[in-house]
Amino acid sequence: MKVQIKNVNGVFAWGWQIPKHDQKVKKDHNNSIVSGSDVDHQEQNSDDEDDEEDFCGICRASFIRACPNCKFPSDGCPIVIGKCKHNFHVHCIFEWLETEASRGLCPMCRQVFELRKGVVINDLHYVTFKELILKRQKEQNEFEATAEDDEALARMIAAQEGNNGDVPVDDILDQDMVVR
Amino acid sequence: MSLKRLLKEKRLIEKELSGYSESIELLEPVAFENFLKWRAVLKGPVNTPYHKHSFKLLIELPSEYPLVPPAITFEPYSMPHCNVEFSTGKICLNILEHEHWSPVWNLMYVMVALYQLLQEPVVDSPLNIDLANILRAGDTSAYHGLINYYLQEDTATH
Repeated sequence: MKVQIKNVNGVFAWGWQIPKHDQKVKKDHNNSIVSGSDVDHQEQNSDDEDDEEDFCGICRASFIRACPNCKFPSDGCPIVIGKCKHNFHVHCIFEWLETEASRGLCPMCRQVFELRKGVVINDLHYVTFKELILKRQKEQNEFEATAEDDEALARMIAAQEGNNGDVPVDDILDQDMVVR
Repeated sequence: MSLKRLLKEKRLIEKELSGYSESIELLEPVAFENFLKWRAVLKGPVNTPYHKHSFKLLIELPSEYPLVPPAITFEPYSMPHCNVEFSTGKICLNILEHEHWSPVWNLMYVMVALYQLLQEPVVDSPLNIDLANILRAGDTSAYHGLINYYLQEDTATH
């Protein structure tokens, strides 16, 4: 049989190169003596994790697609890699961190959201994120300081008033209960 | 942001809701044209006074959702519960507050949390002080009796 190729069409797929967070751990495991089944189990786990990491937890869109506010994926709507191993669309996580209620924390694990160092796709955003997080942390510190002041004030007032007339609710209730 | 994500949530809910038949009876947008208003029905958990009753919830989604939490209330005058204001249906649950909400949560997650609230009322942050006091005093028969009274009244008037 003779085959003549008339035409070739290239088809390409793309994806983000998200660094494997557990690479180091895996290496350690391979160095030590681990039974075959254990290694399999470990690989299975990391596969599951990969699946989870494939979409943005905030907008729920896949990383190969754009966030809801963008038309074009990839360079038009990049992603960032968190130090805490959680990844998001830049636009989604930035919008979240811009809200004061975020307190600068990762929505997945509630740790301070920092970009992972030494990852090329993070480089462009490193400074902007750092500034924003610092702003949130400053607000949080101020908030905690005022909360402490309020507490001290409340304690002072309570001390002055003494505990006259401050009958615990449970006692009143218990008295009623006796009648029942 | 909110509409696209809610569409995704709706698809997921349609796929997963059958797995929650014990707890969530319904979770859907009120009208197809309006994804910012949803309704839900929770089933009363077994071993609670709510068992064999269903509870309607109204869900309003702000346009900033999921960056801010959904506003969820029980139907007014339908839910006698420590952490629910009876006359308005307002719910006291920390994950529904702005400062404790996380955008990675979704409506399904919130429904599961509310179901757990039905199983485990929190007496330390009550919106229904009478029920909380009775529960705190450990008078389970009065607690069950009062809830049953409210629930029967509810079914009688509707």
